[in-house]
Amino acid sequence: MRLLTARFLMVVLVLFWALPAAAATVSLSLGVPKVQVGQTTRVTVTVVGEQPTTLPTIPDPEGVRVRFRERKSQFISTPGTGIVPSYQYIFDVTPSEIGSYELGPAEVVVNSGPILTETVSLAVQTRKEAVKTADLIATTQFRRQTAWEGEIVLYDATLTARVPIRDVQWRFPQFEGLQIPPNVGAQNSTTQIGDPSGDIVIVKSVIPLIAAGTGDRTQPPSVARVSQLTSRVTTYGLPLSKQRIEPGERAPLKVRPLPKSPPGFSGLVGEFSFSSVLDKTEKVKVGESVGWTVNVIGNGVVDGFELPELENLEGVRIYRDKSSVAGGMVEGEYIGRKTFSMVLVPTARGVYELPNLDVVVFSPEAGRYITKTVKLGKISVMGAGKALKVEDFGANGEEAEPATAPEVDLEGIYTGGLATTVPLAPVLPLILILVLAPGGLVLAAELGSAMNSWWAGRRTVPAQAQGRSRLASAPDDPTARLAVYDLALREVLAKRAGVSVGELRRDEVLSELPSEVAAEVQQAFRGLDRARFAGGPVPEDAVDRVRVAIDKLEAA
Amino acid sequence: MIAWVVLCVAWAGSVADGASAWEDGKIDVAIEAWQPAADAGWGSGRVKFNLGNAYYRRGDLPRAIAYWRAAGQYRPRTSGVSHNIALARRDLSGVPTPVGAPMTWMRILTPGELGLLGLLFAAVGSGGLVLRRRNPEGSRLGWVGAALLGTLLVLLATWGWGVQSRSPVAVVVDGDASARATPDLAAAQSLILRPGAEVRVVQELDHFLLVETGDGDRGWIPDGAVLRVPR
Repeated sequence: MRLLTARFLMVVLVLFWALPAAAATVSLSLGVPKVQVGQTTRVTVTVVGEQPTTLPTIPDPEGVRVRFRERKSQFISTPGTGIVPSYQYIFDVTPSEIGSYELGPAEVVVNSGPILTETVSLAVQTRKEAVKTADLIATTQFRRQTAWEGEIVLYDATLTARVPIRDVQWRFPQFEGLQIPPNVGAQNSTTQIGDPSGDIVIVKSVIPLIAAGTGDRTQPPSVARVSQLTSRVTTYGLPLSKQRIEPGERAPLKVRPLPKSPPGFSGLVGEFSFSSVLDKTEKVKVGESVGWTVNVIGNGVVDGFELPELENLEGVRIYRDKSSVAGGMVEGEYIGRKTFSMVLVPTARGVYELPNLDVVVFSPEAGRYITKTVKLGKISVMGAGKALKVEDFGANGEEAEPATAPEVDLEGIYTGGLATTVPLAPVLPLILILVLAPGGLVLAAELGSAMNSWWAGRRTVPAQAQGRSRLASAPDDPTARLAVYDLALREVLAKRAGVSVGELRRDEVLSELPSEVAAEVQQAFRGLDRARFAGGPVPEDAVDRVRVAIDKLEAA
Repeated sequence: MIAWVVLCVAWAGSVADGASAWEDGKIDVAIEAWQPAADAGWGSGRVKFNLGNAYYRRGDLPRAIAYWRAAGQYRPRTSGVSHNIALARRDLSGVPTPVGAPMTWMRILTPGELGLLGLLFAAVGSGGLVLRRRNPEGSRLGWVGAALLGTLLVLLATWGWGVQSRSPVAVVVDGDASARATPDLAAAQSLILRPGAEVRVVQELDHFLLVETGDGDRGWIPDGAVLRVPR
C-alpha cells in the first residue's frame, strides 16, 4: 500500500504540479510488472513539454537486457496543463534470470540539462515451459476487495491473448451500488509481451467507480467479445476471424460504511493534498486585488467539495471568484482535482497573518477522519494604492454583492446631451432619392439627348455618302448597276436642290447650275438613259462620268 | 421630416435631469427620468448607456446589459460601453456565449452612420453631374461612380437596419428561461437560459420567441422572459 501511495503521489507530482513550472517533465513506466524468464516486456520513458536532445538511456541491471525499440510523439491534454507535446521512448526489457529488479532511473537530456526519472520494479519468475495455458484468458476484478463508502474503487478487466486478436469489446455488469464519477470513462490500454513460444497481448480496461452502497457489492463477471484472427484468408488476402466470447470471474468487493463523521466533515473520501498560492504577498497596496488559488487534489471525487466559509479579516476582504473541477484516469489511477480562485483586497496597511484552513477528510489508508490544514501565510500591505470608498464595499462597511461592489469601476454616465435622437435609417431611401434627383435628372436629360441624336443619326443618311456608297457597292447585273448609278446621281442632285429624290425636277435643277456642271451632269444622265431605255451599249466610262458629275455638283 | 426632427429634439433635456438625480444617489429617480425616452423608441445612445449604469447600480445585471447593448448600437466605437458590458458579464455565471452584432461592420458603424456616408457620396455624385453642365467636355464617369457607391452604401445600411430590427438581441431577465423545442409550454425543455443570457430573436410566434445563443443553440422561450434590446 505504501508503495502504491508513493507511486500515486509521484504521478500526481509529475503530472499536475511540476508541469506548469518546469519546461519538461519525465516519467518511467513499465508495461507489465511481472514476467517470466525469457519473456520481453516494455518500459517507456515519457517526456512531456520538451523534446530531448539525445536518446534517453536506461542502465542494464545484471540479468536484464534493455534495448531501444521505437519512439512515438503526440500532443496530450491533462487536467490543469493544457495541450503539451509528449515524447515516448519505448525500450524492450528481457530478463534472463529470476529475481526482482529496479529499472532506471532513465537519464533524459533536454536543453536545460539532464533529468533523471524515477525507477520501476520488475519481478521475474521461473519460466513455466510445460504448462499449457489457454490461448485467451479474461480476468475481471476490483483492485482492492475492501473499500470505504464514498471511496473510488478501480475495476480491472484484462484479456490476455496468446493468439492474434482484434476488436476487443467488454460487456460490463450493472455495477449495482457503485457509480461512475462524473465525466469519466474507462481507461484502455494494450500491452505486448514478447515470449519465446509466441507473443502475448494484454488488453486492459480500468473503470473508476464510487462505492456508493455499503455491504457486499460483489459484481457478476464481465464478458469479453473478441475477434480471433485465423490462418485462412479471404479472396482479397485479408485474414478471416472468428468471434470468441470469454467470461471473466465474479469480482468480490465489500464496502464498509464510514464511521460517524466529525463536525465539519468535507465529504472527501480518499488521500488528498491541499495547496494555497497567493499571487503576491509583499508590498501589496491598499485596494490592490491579490489573486488567491486553493488546489485540492487526490484519488477521490472532489466535484461536490466546497471550501469552508471564509471570513473577512480586519484589514483584508475576501471575494470568491470561481472554481474548476477536473477528474480522470492518469497512469492507471483516478485523480480528481478542484481549484478555487479567490481575490483578497487589503483595506488597510499592515502585515496580516491569514488563518489556516482546516478541512476534514476521510483517509481510507488510515481508516479514520483526518484534518488537513491549508496554510495561507502572510500578506504584507505596505503602501496606499487606490483610495477605497465606502460604496466599493457597500454601506457601513458591510461586504456588498460583487454585482454592486466591483473592484473595477463603471465608466461614468453622460451628464448632458440629447436624450433622444433622430432615427435616420428608416428614412434613408427617401433622402437618397432626394439627393440623387438633381444629378439623376441631369443625367437622364443628357442621356435622352444623346439617344435622340443617335437615333436621328441612324435614320438620316447623308446624300453624298449614300451616293458614293452606292457607286462603290453597285451590283454586277448591268441593268441593276445602271439603275444604281442613276439613283446615286439623282440623290446628289436632290440634296443640292434641297428636295427629296421623288420631288426632284431634273431640268429645273440643271437650269440653275453653272453651264459646265449642268453639261457634265446632263451628259452623264444621257449616257445612262441611252443604255437603260434605248437598248444602247453600256458605256465603259459610265461610273467615271457619274463620279465626275457628282464631284462637280459638290464643287458647284 | 423637419417636424420629425423637431419632435425628437423636443424630448431632449432629460439626460441632464437624470444625471443630477444620479449625482444625488437617487438611482430610481434617474431611471424614471431616462426611461421614457428609451421606451419611446427614440432614446439616444447616451440615455441608454446611463440607464445601463443605473440598472447595474441597482444590481439588475441583465437589464444593465440590455441597455448597454442598445447604447452600443448607437455608439459602437465607445469604449465605455464594451467596458461596462464586460464588467457585468464577469459577474454572470452559466450563461451561453453572447450573440454578436448581426453584421461585422456594425461593430464600428451604425446603420445611420453608414447611410449618412452613403448619402454624402450620393450628394457629391449628384452635385457633380449638375455642375458638369457648365463644362460638358468633362467626364461624367467619376460623378456617376460616386453616386452609385453612395447608393450602394445606403442600401447596405438600410438592409442592416432591417436585419437589426427583424432579429433583435434580447437578454433573459428576472429568472431562468426554459427553451423548448416547439412554441408550447408542454413541449420538451431543451435548454435553460440563465438571467443575463444574450440571445438573438430569430422568429416570433404566439407570445413565443425562437431564440439563438452565441453557441448556436436554439429554442422557443416565452416572450416575457426576455427584454429585447431597445432601439
